[in-house]
Amino acid sequence: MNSVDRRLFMKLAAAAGGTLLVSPNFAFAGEVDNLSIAWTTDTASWDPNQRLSPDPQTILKMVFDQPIDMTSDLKLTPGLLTEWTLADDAMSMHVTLRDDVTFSDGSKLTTEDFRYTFFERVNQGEELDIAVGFGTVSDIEILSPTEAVMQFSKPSPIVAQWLSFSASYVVSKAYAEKVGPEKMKTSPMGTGPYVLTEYQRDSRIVLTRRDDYWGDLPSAKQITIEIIPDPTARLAALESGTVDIATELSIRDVKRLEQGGTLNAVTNPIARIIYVTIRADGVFADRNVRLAAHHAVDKDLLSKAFFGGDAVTINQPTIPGMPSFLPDFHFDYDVAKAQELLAASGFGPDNPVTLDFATTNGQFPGDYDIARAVVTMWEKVGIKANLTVITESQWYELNASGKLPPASLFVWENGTGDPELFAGNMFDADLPFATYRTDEVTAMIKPLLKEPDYDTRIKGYEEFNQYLIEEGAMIPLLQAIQTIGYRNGIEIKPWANGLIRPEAITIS
Amino acid sequence: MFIAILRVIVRRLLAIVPVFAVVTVLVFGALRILPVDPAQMSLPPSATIEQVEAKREAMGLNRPIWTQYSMWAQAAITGDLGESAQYRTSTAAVVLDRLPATIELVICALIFAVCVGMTGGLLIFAVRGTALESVGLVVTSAVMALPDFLLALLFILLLGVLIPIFPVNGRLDPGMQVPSYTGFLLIDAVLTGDFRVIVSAFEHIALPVMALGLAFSPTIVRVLHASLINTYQQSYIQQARLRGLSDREILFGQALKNAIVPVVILVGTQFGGLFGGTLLVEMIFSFPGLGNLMVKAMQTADLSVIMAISLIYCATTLIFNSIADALAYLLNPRLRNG
Amino acid sequence: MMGKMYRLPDPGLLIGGSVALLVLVCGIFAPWIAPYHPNDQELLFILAPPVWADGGSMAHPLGTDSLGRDTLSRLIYGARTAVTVAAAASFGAMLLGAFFAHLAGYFGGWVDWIISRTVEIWLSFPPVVLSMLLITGLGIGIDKVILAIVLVDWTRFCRVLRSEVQVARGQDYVAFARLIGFSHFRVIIREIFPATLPMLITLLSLQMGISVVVEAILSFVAMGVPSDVPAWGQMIADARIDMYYAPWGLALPIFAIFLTVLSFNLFGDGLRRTLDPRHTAQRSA
Repeated sequence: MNSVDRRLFMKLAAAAGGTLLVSPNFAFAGEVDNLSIAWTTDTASWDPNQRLSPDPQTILKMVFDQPIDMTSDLKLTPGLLTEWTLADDAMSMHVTLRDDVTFSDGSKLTTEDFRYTFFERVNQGEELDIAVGFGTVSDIEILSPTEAVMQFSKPSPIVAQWLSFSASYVVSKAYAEKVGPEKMKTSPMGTGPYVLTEYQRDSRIVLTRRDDYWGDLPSAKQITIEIIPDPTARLAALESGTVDIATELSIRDVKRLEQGGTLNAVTNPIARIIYVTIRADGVFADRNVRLAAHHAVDKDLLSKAFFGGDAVTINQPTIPGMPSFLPDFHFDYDVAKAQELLAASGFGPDNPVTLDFATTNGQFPGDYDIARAVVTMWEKVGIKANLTVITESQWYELNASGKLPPASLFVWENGTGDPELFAGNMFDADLPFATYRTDEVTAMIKPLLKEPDYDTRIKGYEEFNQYLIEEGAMIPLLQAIQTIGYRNGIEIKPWANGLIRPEAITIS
Repeated sequence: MFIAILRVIVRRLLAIVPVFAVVTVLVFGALRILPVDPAQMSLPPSATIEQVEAKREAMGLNRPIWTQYSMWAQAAITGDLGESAQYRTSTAAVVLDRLPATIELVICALIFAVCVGMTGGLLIFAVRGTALESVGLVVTSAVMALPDFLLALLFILLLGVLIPIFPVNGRLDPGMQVPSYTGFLLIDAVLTGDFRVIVSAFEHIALPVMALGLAFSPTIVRVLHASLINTYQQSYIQQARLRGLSDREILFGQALKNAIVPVVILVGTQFGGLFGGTLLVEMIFSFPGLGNLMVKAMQTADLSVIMAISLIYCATTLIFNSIADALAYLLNPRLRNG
Repeated sequence: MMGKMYRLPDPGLLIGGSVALLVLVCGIFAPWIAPYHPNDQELLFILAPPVWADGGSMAHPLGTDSLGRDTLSRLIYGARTAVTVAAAASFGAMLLGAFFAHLAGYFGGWVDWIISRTVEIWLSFPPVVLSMLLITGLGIGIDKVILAIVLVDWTRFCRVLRSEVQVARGQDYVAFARLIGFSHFRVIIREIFPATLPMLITLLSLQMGISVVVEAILSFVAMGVPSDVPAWGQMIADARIDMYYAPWGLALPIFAIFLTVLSFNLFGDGLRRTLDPRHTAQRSA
């Protein structure tokens, strides 16, 4: 009996040792076999160049890599590119690609793939959102497998920011041409740290780590993303331990988690602003009405009521800490001033100015509540807003056909932090986002879009931001916050662009 | 005999083909009147006016509506239902992906409703003439005043939030995996043989099924109850009683067989309503079926998906109505001979 | 009022009628009964619990919602929306349905064929799906909701009344009226319509309950009334997000809808028992 036991013990010890030898990472602290994340929405498409919308980017970035990466506070840092140099006239950019990157099918990443992604694909007429940022690329000249020069049809000072932004992921030319555009939407193949191993639409995504990844290996060998649209269900999944991390929880629940102690939560201010768009025509052709609408909104109260006071109030089309932000610029909440302005135009609480106000419902946390609160704040000074609920896609369509209501609650994501992707794109009349279209705005914005000198450009945007607010061209409300809840034993470093990065998750 | 039954059913089913054709025309026409532009919807927001115009041309949106309809109909017959604007992929694939979940839900709900309804009807009938009968009927009325979507919310509140017994979202616990053999999750879960997975799958479907089924059951209770009362007035029941058969033997041996006919017909004619009820219940429970897809499609004006799902709803209603019709004809000797 | 003409008032009629009356009174006199304006927000006082829960106060007896609006006042004003929609939509559906039912049942032949086929096509849409499709096309608003319900539910009246009309059409007194040369119009209005009236009233009462539910459903999915009109369905939709934190906000409007629908159903059933001679005969047999 005894000897058998001892023999068994020896065998077990040998087996355990063997395992340790085969897989050196086994049982090492800082590694975890599987990490589950409760996420809000599916990717919709696995073609990484197809959609600019912010939600899928976290998932896409696990499978694909971007030419230029970002630090957690949105500074550019080398990604697939080790070097990028913009010409002084911003008409071309020299780039150098890493030489040690392979796709998950084993093929090597070269400048052919870079050229294919940012030039050939865009020009092939495929329906890709990436065209917004790279429509100006007139050619990408290949110098060697690791060196290329991007040529632009007009000055493109922020192409480097675009290379680090949503939808800018390098795809394999050989693979894309082999499988065709349809298959690209369902079967992703990239250079990223993970490969897709299981996918159930709108339900689950399983990603397995590639151990031949060129960069630092993230701590999770496998990441399971559970698509759970309902915030209360995401919370339930976290509390029951079925997921390790849950995003976009309600602010009240986050407060509760922070007090409870068994789970952790962070509120992370991200590069996303909530604001009210204004049209330059109709009732808002009157500058008094535009400014009154801005003075009437108590942003602190909005933050307190809907974000527990955690959301930063903003008075300009950018967020604190980003280039072109003016720290000393203020715009007051002042009901008396608003009434005075309206009175000057012949309106008042008894004779209100009437307008339509569009909002989304459920597009981002608190949207519908914020819109209804703004309606009431306006009502007090003499602006009668009829609230209509639309979807994000309807917003684009209404705006394209010129039928967007005078005011609408909207959210603007700018993962680069650069002012061109804030005020620049918000007010560029050539883009589908512009609602306040005047000749004066166009005259101010056009030179900025082409300005190659960084400091001049930022200075220009500082003036432009101030002009926009003083003219009442928009009503900035709040900087959005991302909420993340996670179990004990994990640490997460939040990224200001709202991405959850596997390498930013550490296991203790 | 079997051939004759089949012939009756096939004839009824053939009769719905023209009705269905008219329905497709109506839905198609209605969706084209909607103030949305399918071309704009299927392009990225950055699309220029020329690109939208080119897309309109490619989609045939500039041609007369009947040409568009015949283009759609020809493609539909080959199984091509167009491209979903929100998923930017084949509508048929998106819809078929979701269909099994809804079928599972509606069948489970039907079984639940019939069980509850039959039990309720028999119980109330068993206590006929006493005060308990009135109590039973009042309870039935009360449940009747709770449509499926209110029951769904009530169950979430009671069994999901206050006494958290059942999960209120999705189809499986996060982290569980079920390989897809049949596409029907409950069957696939059973096939895995993993007890935890099976329990999780049934726990998740419990509340939606209860909400949908319980809302449907009072109608069954009432019809069965009324039909039993009616049957007991027939002479053969009196005769059976005179022959000394026990109450139980009369009820289950004789009466129920006849009294069940109106219930079968009711289920057939009301099946469409039950199927339509999945829309809200699925939405409330984030149950990934057709209804959820439909609500999402309506919010994003995804026309080809709305069209496809509407037609599935209509076809199901029509098919079950005509089967009920055929059954009524076959089960009711008076109708058949007269 | 109806009950007095008959021997014994049915209990369902009595109870259902009085609750329905209560809801109606709430709706009509909402501005006088409600302690607050339903859209008044107190953003610093959101999701207050009802008075019987910890931290509740008499200032808001049923608590407040996610925008700090008084739940009791919103329930009372919600009754106004519900009653308006229920009455108008049911009446509209009844008129449209009864009109076609009388045409089809009285004239028969191809008129009947066309109307019956139309009803058949209509009925192939599940009602919820059809009303949501209609709202997608019509847009939101109380009037649109009413119109959608009328367009969906007229078939309910048409189908049932058509056979009633057919029965009445076969009666001797109708044939006699035709013989002595009364016009079709006069025969329908004077001879047939009174015969279908009991069924019509019963259906109307049941339809009121259905309309309340449909309005709630449409408001719930934000396809109903505009956001500044208080509605029970909307209250449910608003309260859902915070149901873990404030379950009463969800429970109260559900209860309001339940009570209203139940009262209309009881009233309708009571009416059927009281008014329908065949039904009475059947019961006593």
